[in-house]
This record gives sequence, structure tokens and C-alpha cells, in this order.
Amino acid sequence: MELFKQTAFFYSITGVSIFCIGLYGLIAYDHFIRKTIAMNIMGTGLFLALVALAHRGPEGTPDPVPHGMVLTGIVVSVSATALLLGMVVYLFLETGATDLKGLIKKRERDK
Amino acid sequence: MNVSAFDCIIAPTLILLAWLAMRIKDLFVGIVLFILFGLLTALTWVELQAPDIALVEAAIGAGVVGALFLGCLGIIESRQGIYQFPMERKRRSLLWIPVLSLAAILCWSISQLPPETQGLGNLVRNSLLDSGVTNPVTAVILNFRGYDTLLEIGVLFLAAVAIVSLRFFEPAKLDSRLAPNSRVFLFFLQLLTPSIVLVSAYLLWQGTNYPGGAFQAGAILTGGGVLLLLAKVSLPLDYRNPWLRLAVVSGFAGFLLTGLGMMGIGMMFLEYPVTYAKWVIVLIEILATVSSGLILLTLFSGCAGFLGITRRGGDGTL
Repeated sequence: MELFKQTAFFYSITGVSIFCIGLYGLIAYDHFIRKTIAMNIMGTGLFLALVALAHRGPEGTPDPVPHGMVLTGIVVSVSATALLLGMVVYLFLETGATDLKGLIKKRERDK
Repeated sequence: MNVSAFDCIIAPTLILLAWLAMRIKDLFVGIVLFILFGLLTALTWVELQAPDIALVEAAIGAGVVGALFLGCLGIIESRQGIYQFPMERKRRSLLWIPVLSLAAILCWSISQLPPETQGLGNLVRNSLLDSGVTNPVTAVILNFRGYDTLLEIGVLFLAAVAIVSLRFFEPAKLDSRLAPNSRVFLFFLQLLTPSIVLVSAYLLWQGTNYPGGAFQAGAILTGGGVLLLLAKVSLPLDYRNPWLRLAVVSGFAGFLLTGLGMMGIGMMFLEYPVTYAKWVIVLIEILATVSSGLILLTLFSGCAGFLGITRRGGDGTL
């Protein structure tokens, strides 16, 4: 437990908790926008753990390589989010569905 | 370094906000809480001595992503009516078992890591003189790990291509009569637009030596573009225009061609000559700023219905 009093380990555990909350939300909720929020929360948790663990250098100097990777990761996750939301809007305008259940119902009605 | 009182406040708040942002009944409130979560995360990056990430998080993670979500929700709610989304009240209690086990495994494996490690920090600091810049994070993303950033711009470009290919949303009807005519807003807009360009250029230039860089600058330009779109100022976002296409691809193409050009003068792919490294990096960053700003604006326009020529079928009915 002494270990988790260090900033690096304290925040990486916070990151793990946020990641798991996001994972739960991604599976448990139906609405596509809610799922996308959950996916973004998972990503933030992951970035938090990675940057926190980069903070273990001597004299508290952080390692810049994970920082660069997280920077890249944030930009990639905004691309994925935009693509997902673009498809959510398209699906909604075409079918009126905002979740998988609505989509299945619409398909059964059409038959 | 040990945990401070600030850490003890911010970490539980982050967890609570993450939980509420997903759980809360009204999606709009959820999105606002998510933006708040992003801003608090930016504060956490500062606490973890990662100011470069803090800038990106505040501009992209909270700003652009928040605008994307609100734009998307705006389209859905304007057609569906603002009703309380039925909360999926499923008893998912069993789902907690695998999720909590995963959390336990991850915590255990983190506790097995050595409490102090060099990482690659020293390697980066020792080769910083060869990189042409003095900000270690800029050196990593544009010089030492150039592949990552090249592919990152590639992913961003692909997302824009995909969004533009989906553009059978409502045509972008920008009716200037519907523009917000509040004088406070217009004054604010006039004041903010030039300062946004200035701040963006400053972030771009100082990125070589201090926190900042191409993506931060691009995201801030996007913020300005979003503001102008919301004020119904029509921006040249017509993808039939070849110059727009050229500007959007310039970040990726410029980076790739620079890398290939270095091979032409007998160096490795994406290796820069030490004496000119700074100028090569600045050139790539300028192109990346313009194209990432345009791409992020395209992504916003796609999600918020500002993009598009005509709907497929053409009659514009839903």
C-alpha cells in the first residue's frame, strides 16, 4: 500500500478505475452516443495510466516518450469519435434509430 | 513524489465525473459532464508535468470532442424532440464481476512494476541536441518517433475522407437571418477571431522550445472555425474545391514527401540533417497545423450537419 502513495501509482490506479467504468458503460448502455462517451472515457483512463507511469523517473523528471504517444493517442481518438458520431448521425437520418434495438425493430417493421 | 491534497481531491472527482457522464439520464447533461471531465483531466496533466498533453486535452479532448458530441446530439434532438431518453435500466449487476476482475488484475500488474525507472527519458535528453528543437515532447513526436506522427496525420486525414464520403446530411443551409444578432456575441466574435489566429500561430512557433505544437495550434484554429460556423458565417468548406482538398492533404503529404526527400539525399526515411532539423520540423508543423485545423473543422461540420451539398435523392426530405 505504501507504493500507491507515490503520485505515479496513485494516478495509474485512478486511470485503471476510469478505464473500467468506461468499459462497463460501453457494454451496459444502448444509446450510441452514450457508448461513444464511454469509449472516450476508456481512452482517457488509459492515457492517465500511461502518463502517470511515465512519472517514475529519478528526481521526478517525466519520460517524454509516453507523453508523445498519448498526444498521438488523443488525436487518433478524436478521429475515431468523429467517424463514429458521423455514422450515428447518418444511421439516425436514414433509419431513425439511435441504438441497436431500434435498428432491429425498424428492420422487423420493414419486413 | 508523494500524493498531495490536490491529488486526493482531483482523482475521486475524475472518477465520479466519468461515472456520472455515462449514467446521467439526460444525454445533454452527460455530454456537458464529459466536457467538464476533459477539462479536469487537463488539470491532471499539468499536475503530472505534461503541459503539452494538457494543451491538447483542453483544446481537442474537451473542446473539439465536446463540440462533436453536442453537434451530433443537436441533429438528433432537432428531429426527435427533446425527450428524456429512456434510461436502459437493465440489471447488469453480473457485468461488474468481469469488469472488477479486470480492474484487480490491472492494479496487481501495476503494483509489480519497479517504483523508479529511467525509461527513455535520458536517451531523449542526451540526443536532444541532434533533434533541432529543445522541447523534448516535440522532439519525440516530430523527430525521434516521426512514424507515429506521420500515421497520426494519416488517420486524421482518413477520418476526414470518411466523413466527407458520408455527406448526405442535410445541405449546409447557412441562413444569415438566423444568425445570433446579440451585440455582445458579435463584439466577442470580432475580438476573438483575430486573437485565435494569433494564439494559434504563437503556439505553433513556441512548440519548438516550449509546450505547444502543431496539433494544439490546429485545434485552436478549429475552435475559431466552429465559432464562425455557429454565427452562420459561411466558410469555404465545399469539397468540390481542389484547393481545399490540397490544403487538407498537405499535412500528410508534406510529411511523407519530406521523409521520402531525405531518402533522396542519402539519409534514412524521416531522418533529418542535424543543421536543418529545426526548419524541417517547423515546415512540417506549419502544414500539419493548417491541415489538422481544416480536418477537425470538417469533422465537426460533418457531425453537426454543416457539411453537404445535397441529400442523396435530392429532394431534401427525410
